[in-house]
Amino acid sequence: MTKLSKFFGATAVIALMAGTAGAQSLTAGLAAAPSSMDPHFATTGQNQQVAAVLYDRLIHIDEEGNFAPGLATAWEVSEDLLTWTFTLREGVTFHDGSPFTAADAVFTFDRIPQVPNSPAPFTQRLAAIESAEAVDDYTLVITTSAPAPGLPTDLSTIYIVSQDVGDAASADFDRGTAAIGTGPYRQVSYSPGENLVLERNPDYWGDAPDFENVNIRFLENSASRVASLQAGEVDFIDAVPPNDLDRLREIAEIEVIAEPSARMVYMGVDQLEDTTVMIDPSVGNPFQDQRVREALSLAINREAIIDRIQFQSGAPANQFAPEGIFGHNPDIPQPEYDPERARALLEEAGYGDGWSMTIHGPAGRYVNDTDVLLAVGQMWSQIGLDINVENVPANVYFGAATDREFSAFMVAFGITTGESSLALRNVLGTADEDRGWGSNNRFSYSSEAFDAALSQAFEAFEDEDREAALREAAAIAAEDVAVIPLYWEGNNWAVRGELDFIPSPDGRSLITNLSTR
Amino acid sequence: MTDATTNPATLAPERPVWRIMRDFRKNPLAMVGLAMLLVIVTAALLAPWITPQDPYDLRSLSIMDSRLAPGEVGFSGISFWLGTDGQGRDMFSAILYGLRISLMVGVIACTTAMILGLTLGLVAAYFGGRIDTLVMRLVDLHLSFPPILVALILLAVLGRGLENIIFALIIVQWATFARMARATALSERGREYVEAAQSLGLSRSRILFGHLLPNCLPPLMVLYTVEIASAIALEATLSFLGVGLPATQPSLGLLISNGFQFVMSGQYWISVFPGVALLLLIVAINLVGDRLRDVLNPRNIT
Repeated sequence: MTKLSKFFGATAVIALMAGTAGAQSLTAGLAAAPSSMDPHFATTGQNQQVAAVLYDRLIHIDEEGNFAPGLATAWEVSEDLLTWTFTLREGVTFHDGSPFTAADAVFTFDRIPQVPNSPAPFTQRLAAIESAEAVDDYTLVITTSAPAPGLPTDLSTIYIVSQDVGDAASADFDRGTAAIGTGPYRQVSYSPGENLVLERNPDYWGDAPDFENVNIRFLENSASRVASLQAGEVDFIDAVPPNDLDRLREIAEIEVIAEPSARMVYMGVDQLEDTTVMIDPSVGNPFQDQRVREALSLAINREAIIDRIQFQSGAPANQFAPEGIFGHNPDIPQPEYDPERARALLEEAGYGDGWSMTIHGPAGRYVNDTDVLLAVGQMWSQIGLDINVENVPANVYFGAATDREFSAFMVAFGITTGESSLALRNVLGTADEDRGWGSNNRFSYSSEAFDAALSQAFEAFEDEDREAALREAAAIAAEDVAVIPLYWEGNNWAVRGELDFIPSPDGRSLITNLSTR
Repeated sequence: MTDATTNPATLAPERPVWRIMRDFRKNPLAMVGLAMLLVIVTAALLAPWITPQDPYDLRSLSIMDSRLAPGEVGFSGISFWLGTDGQGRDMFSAILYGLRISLMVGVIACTTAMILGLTLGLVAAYFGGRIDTLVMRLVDLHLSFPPILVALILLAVLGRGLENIIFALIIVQWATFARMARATALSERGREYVEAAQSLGLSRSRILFGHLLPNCLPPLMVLYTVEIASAIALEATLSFLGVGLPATQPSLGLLISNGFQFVMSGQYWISVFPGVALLLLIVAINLVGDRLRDVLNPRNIT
């Protein structure tokens, strides 16, 4: 063996060792830092995606979006639909070694309303619960004041902490003294906005994670996140800017994972009155005519937007709930691109000469939002409308949209609860403050048939009935072209070669979804 | 006196304009600058007739043509010699239209700022005392803020738009002109021709604008050219930062900003070509301005 080949042999061995060491520890670069390590502080995605690896829920959600046993192995509801009995998992220990019992779950439910200063509290998710009782160590009985079909969904987001937490403040979770969960990883240290260090929980009841040590760095700036991945400083990043996807795809040791999310970007069109603010009153309000809304939808080449502007990240949308979200209706036809028919429909509706208007969108709120809005402007121009495009800074945009200053405008709604009911109720329900319907219905779509179908979904107890009602509501909205759906925004991740990442339906960047090849 | 006006040849051997032009021509670099400037201005003025596409008309764009490399032919059959941007805009057309906007913004803003600054500066210098103090402290206050900051704040309040950006540039630039006008006018004020005019009992406004102004103009003309260049650069910066012109009417700064995100992916042309156009324009104006300064400086007259 020559000296040179010895040298290469040695480096190969070192590289191999480094490879195994890399498999044991993981460094991740996440875009969004949690506002607190207290798992009950805020329901926001960035808080929940780190809480979910440290703490378990009674009920988990599997890769297909179905309920799966978590800390509860089984649950059933009484005849009168008011009493739920949960059988809890035995032999689970907290990170401090103490056993998990029903008393910890009751403690968690009691603690949640007492967390101060929460910007997005969990209390709403416990609102259905009248009382929770630990009958014995492994039996939890929850009583609700009214039938609560949504209880399992709600409980799948409630992170169970140890009763040893006592009256610890949110800051004690940041320090780590109160961070006692049952999850696959335990918290070693946390520097707010900087990084979170985790280590494997050797006593975890479920599948042991692949990594001994995990360092999550919070890299808000997307350019530095991408650069860190390329330089090998981190093994995994989330929120990859679409504009970098093609470049990263070309790098051999980096793999890109782009999945459509449950966030639908759409154009809302004002349907309230006979006139609308951005269109000359002599033209009237064309958006009240279903044929016009359909024409505007047919005019949009969604494939082109995904391909040319979003770099193949995301998918053309036809309803709020994508496949895998409860309430998705597979029978709604895929949106078509047919400018010829769009022009014919406009002609038929009496708007053959088109009209002129300004369309609006936020600047920098959604991925490449200005470019998408300009593309919509192009496509609508091409069926004979005279379109001007204005992008408005996001901090003023939504207020102005709510104040009805726009006629046709771009918005997105993301489903975070795994089912479509909230999206349909908030965005498409006829506005009714008392019922809490239509809070995001800034364009005043209103359909009795839709409202009736959706009401059924909120009353139904059996999953099949609920699903049928939600599908029915989605079909009515699609038929009416209540909004003009554009696309489901993409979630993009990138990993270095030796890792696998399997996204979960909620689109979170969960460390537990990473594994070694 | 009537002789001097009817027959200048008998008094002065040559009119100043001819002397300036003759001196200007002596520097080849300045002539290159002037030629570049003329080409750019002509191309910008003729843009609607010589470009293959109207980049501000959404109807003529197609995102299917987006991010094509220079020289490629789009669906519509147009060949894009400088490529296209993310919206399918022909870069050549967009650059010419962008230059049009840049030049228009620069010239309108600077001319207005000069008129405003010049008037205030002359008034301050001629009257002195409280008026002088008032105007000049205002100028000091103004010049103590970085121009970009003032412009950013103004545009944040006023919103985007052509008129707003011109207004912001005027506000940013008038003080520079005022200071220069005052300094020049102060040195001119003690001259005999002013005293002569005063002793003739001419009105103040006539002395100000009829006698002082023409003699203060040469240094201000130099400043004017330089300031046009900086106004264009400032407009590009503001548009780059996203507070300048609307997204449907991209100026050079916005074009550069739009292409910025693609540079790392090898799609250099979206940023680089407008950048080069901006660079050429500013260099050309500065070359002309520099030479004008040399030519107009009395110390350089032999």
